[in-house]
Amino acid sequence: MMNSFEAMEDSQTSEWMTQLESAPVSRSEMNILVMDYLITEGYRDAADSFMKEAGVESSIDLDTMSERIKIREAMNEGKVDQVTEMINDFDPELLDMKPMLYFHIQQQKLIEFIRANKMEEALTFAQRELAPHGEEHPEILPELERCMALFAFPHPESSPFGDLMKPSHKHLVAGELNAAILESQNEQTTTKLHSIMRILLWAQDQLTQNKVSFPKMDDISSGVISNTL
Amino acid sequence: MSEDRISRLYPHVQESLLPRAWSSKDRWQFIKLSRGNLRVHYNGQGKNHKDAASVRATHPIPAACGIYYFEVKIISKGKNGYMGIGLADAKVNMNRLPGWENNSYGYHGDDGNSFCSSGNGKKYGPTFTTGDVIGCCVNMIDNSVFYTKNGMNLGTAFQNVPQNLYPTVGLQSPGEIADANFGDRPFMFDIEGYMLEWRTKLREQIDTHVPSRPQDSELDLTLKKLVFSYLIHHGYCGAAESFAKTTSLYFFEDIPSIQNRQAVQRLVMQGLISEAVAQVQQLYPNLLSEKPELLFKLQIRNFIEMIATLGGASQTHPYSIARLMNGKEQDEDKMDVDHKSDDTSESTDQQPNRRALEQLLLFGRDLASQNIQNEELKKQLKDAFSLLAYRDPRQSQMGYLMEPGQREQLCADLNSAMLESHGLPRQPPLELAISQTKNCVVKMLESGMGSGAYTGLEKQVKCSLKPQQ
Repeated sequence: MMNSFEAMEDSQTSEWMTQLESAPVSRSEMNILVMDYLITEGYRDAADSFMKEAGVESSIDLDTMSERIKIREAMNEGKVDQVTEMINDFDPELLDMKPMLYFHIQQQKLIEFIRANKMEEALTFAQRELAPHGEEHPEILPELERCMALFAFPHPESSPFGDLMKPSHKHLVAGELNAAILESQNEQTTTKLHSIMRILLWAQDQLTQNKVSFPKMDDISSGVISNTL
Repeated sequence: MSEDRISRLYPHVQESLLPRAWSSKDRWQFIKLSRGNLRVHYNGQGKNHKDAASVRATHPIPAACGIYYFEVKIISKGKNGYMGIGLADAKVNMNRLPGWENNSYGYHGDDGNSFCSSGNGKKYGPTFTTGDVIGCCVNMIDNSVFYTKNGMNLGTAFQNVPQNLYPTVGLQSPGEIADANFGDRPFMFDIEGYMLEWRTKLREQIDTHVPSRPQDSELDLTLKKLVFSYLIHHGYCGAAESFAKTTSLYFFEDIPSIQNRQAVQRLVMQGLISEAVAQVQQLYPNLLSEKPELLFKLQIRNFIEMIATLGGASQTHPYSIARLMNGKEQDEDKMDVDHKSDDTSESTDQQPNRRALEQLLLFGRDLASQNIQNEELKKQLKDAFSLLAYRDPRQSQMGYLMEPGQREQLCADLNSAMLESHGLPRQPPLELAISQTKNCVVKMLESGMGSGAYTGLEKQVKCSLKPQQ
């Protein structure tokens, strides 16, 4: 990585830091962004408390959020049958429109069978449900193959495909599901904070690529600027 | 109206930096200007190319425009219609048509050719003549130029054009007249549509950008941490607790401590400064002694709050205060005050208010006697004192000091100090990250990177992205 700090003036850095700390965004605007995040990501209780504590309005009715939240929470816990039932009550066409999402949900069911060591049931399920789906939608085949490979290992969690067994995989599918529901309701699928952070990552890379020197925020979650003189 | 159009086209540029007319100084002698320097006439003999005459606009095109566009209407093709429309840098000789010189670019009406730093043209588009409107668009995201004729895009004319080019028009035969539109009036070409296409392209580029460092791809986790630390910083305990439960994040400051910080901040926001200071001394015994300037600011604020609570005109009448400050005899003062209050009906309220007034003055004198070096703080103290000079301090010039909103900054400073003593950042990383985003986009614009104009940041969060030139 280019380190052109030797060339940068001390005064430029301190001016940058002063601007950084002088809060161009008001508290009320910040709170709107955070509220938008909590709602879009489905953190119902946090949104409720935040609304009271910060005095922010919610942009959508928190009750219509409930179904989406329940579905998301069930998915986070890997309760696939419950999830499928709820989705079909909520929006029967949703899974038809999104074969990849449907596959991911079914795949999770398979993973849960494997986790519970119900190998026979897992195999039957794979043959009955997943294989035909793969025939109809060939784009899922590479992922299906990965998943089936779990059968080959006595300890799937420590196999090369162990990431599928982690809780984070459930969260991933839950996120995908959440976005699909939002999309089907014509709500924004990504939070404003996500958009802003993506601009940050892109802009820093663009500047670096163009060899412009500037104080870079290497660790965004801590807000620390590295490379100060 | 035209100002609105211009600021919608180029939201991140100071209007004073945009080309708005032809330059009366930066032209060849055979060019005459009229109509607010928007119309050009050819004034020469027009015998051959040595009689060519061009003029540059008043300003070069700022990269912060992202995409820039202007149109020229041919009012008359004159004798030969030897007219060129295009761009030139600051040093290009104006005794030539656009495109003939280095760093000069032109599209000529007589042959429809494009000229790129050369006297030899290339086939480009149709010829143009009286009544035609020719547009020139500079795209500083992909560094290309295209022209339009009567609203139709003729395709890319030049690529890899440099920065800081001026809109330029050149004439060569008698009777030639052309009018420019730099955004004051609607364009024939749908430039807004073209800009929208690029805005969308750029947004997609940003959304699908793979960060150069793999750990930055964990955006979801980063955001969780940012939101969490934000909630804690500002003491939104309930929200933080619920959030932590569903995300399995850990608290790095315990709840009672967060609640204490909240309590102190609430006291400051209510103007109960003495109580707030007492709380802070109890919770963080060394904090205020280590930060004398912060303590002083709190005391000034306390002073202002005391003035505010006294309220009403008669209590803070300059005459009564002046007499008190001059240490007049108490009886004498009492007599004077009673005398003055014959008109008012609040005689029973006099005694407690007098005491409050005395306390106020004692407090004020104590403040003034402190040996403060900091010029900023000295000024703040002086401003606070000046409130005493008015019958109705709230209506005075310094009255804004008494507004509740003034407590916010002090509140934030105190919160930062308390957090600092826990080894936590003075500001929430979320706020710093957003500031950094803004700074980086402005830096892009300042460095001539046109794509910085179309990030869409200003749609996500209200902020001004105009670079300081």
